[in-house]
Amino acid sequence: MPLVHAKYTVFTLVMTGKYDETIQTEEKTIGGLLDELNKKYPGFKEVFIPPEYKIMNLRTMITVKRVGMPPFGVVDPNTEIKDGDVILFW
Amino acid sequence: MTGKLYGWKGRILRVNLSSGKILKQDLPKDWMRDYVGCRGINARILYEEVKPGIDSFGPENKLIFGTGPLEGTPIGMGRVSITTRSDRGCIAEGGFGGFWGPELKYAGYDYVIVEGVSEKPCYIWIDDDNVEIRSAEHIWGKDTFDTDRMIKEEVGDFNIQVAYIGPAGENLVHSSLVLTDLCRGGGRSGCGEVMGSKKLKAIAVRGTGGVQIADPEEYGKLWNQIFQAHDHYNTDDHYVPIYSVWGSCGMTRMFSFTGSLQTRNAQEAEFYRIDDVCAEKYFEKYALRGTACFCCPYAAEGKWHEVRDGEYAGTKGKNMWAGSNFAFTALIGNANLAAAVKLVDECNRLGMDQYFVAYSIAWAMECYEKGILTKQDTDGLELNFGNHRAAVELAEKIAYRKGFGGILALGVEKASQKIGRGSDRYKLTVKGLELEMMPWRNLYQAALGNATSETGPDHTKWYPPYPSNPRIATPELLKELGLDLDLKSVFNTRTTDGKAKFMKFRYDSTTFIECLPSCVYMIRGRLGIDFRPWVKILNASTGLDFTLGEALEVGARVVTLERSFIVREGYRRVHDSVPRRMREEPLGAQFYEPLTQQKFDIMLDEYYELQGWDRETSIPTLRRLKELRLEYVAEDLKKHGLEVK
Repeated sequence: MPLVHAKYTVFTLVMTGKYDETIQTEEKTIGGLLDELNKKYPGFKEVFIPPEYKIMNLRTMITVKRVGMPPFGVVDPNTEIKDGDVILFW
Repeated sequence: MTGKLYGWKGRILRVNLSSGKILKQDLPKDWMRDYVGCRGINARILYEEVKPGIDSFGPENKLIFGTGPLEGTPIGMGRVSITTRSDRGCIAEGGFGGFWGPELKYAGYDYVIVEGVSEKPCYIWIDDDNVEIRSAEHIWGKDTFDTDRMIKEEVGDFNIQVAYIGPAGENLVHSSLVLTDLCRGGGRSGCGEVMGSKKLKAIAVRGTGGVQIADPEEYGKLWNQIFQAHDHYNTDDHYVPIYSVWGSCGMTRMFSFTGSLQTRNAQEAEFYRIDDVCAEKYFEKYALRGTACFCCPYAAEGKWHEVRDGEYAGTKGKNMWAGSNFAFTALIGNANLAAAVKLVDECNRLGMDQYFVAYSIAWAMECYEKGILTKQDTDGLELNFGNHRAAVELAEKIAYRKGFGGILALGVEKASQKIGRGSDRYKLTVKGLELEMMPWRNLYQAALGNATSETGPDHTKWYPPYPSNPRIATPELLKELGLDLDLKSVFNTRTTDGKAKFMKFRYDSTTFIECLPSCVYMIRGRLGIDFRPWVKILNASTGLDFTLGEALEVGARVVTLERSFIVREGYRRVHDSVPRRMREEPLGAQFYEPLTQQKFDIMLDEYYELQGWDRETSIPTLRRLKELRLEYVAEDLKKHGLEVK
């Protein structure tokens, strides 16, 4: 079960009321993590994957920082998450 | 071109401060077609009228305030271009939004050219057709807030618009600004100090006319289309909602997270105290309400703010840009947000550029921590990174050239020469001007753009550095637009592939927008790739028939003209450079390698080739000058002994 550090900025900070939190998740992908966060913060997922398009939004971004590599942006919800990832939702 | 003039007012106001002579001249119509306006026509005037090698602070230099055909209409955003010869010898160009530009148009002028040097401090009062030079002896020395108020009181009208300098400009401090509306500043590449050298404190304007548009119905449709593209819900650009709600400083945590934040004089790229100084904290504690330039659909510039308690209580002002936030927190290692607000306010009131002040302090702090500078050099200030009290004190010393501030007031380049002792290893300048906040080691196109900018680093000349989302610029759209761009390589920001081609496109297109004028913040989403709506709105405003190709050629012409100006002054390829730190030092925490000279040269060679400039010297080639109808420039360069191949 990956332990990830979620960071919220601008809009997502307003939705979650938090700057960040640590999440132990059973999910293996960014899409799965969005589902999990959507349960805690209703409406969270659709900010990133609008239900009418089912692809990642043009107006928001998810960026991942992983040990041993430069930060990268997520364009595919099937992107795998790994233990220790720091994930910025903006 | 039809007889009746739409868009442009067709008049240049020329004020000679040495003789007191005031002239109103016609704007040549062929300039409108070749250079459109604003930055473009400013460059045309400067090239012709300001000769190489002159004293920038002497009477031969000119200070040009330019608007364009869309100024005074909603799309113009109030953008003004200010152009002059900087004391570094290269072109100084920059400007501000706000309301001064529209007011000048409504008074009946597209351009104001200030010549000569006044014997005593003065300001120019433009009241429609009545123009006079008034004494400013009682205002000289006042900060920008007082200047704004005093001139409006004197004129007896608080609805006039005033552009002015602060004490820094009067004291000929490097990188001083011209400001309007208290906190909207521009011309960091040298305009404020040239205005100060002319003893010109301000230009106040009242205009009661308007701007005639050729096809108002078409204009309205196009304006709606552009407006919709910047609507929070309709936009296809993920920066727009952030800008529209939070202002540009909403991006601070993202920049830090991605290792894009120049931290502690760019020794690092992520600030560990970012959560204490980010936009969210600024909103929580200090922001009051939004503020916007003329007709801006999304108020990216920021908010009014006030510090109500603590040691910086009483600080009031506005406009914490993203760059302001980065500069006065991460760059100088400061985790006290109220101090950052205070520093922004000091710069605005004293008329100084925030990047210059922040990089000067950061450079001094690094030199201090490395033992190059001691308390004896710094008037007893302990210049460790994060010492916000010292930073605030030093900012004021710079504006008034007091003690160690007098050395920093020269700019980091000259200050490092004066100090010596190896301090130049830590300077972050290009063409003698301090960097801005764009990252270099993980955004190669930004590095190329900043290194080649004719004024010294200026992101507004080529911003934004990539389309906001790859899905906007489909291969089909690019084909339809006739753009040969490899956007996949552009998004791969740490390779040299495709960067030169993209930057050439950016320079051409952004320069065209600046000639209209409009604001670089409007080049978002699809409107940053597909410039057809921009061309259409120019045509609807002026009644002309520009094609997309002609419009981009205007951009290319202006950039090449500006390049010609600086090569005539002696600038060459070697001056399009990457600071040593970015070339030699990796950013270990982010796994970003240095942008080596070898990698940079690959991009630069390609960029010159695409611009039609000589690879060895950066002098525009004869063929390119002819293609751009700049034959007069070729002749002039030859006359000055330059080899135009």
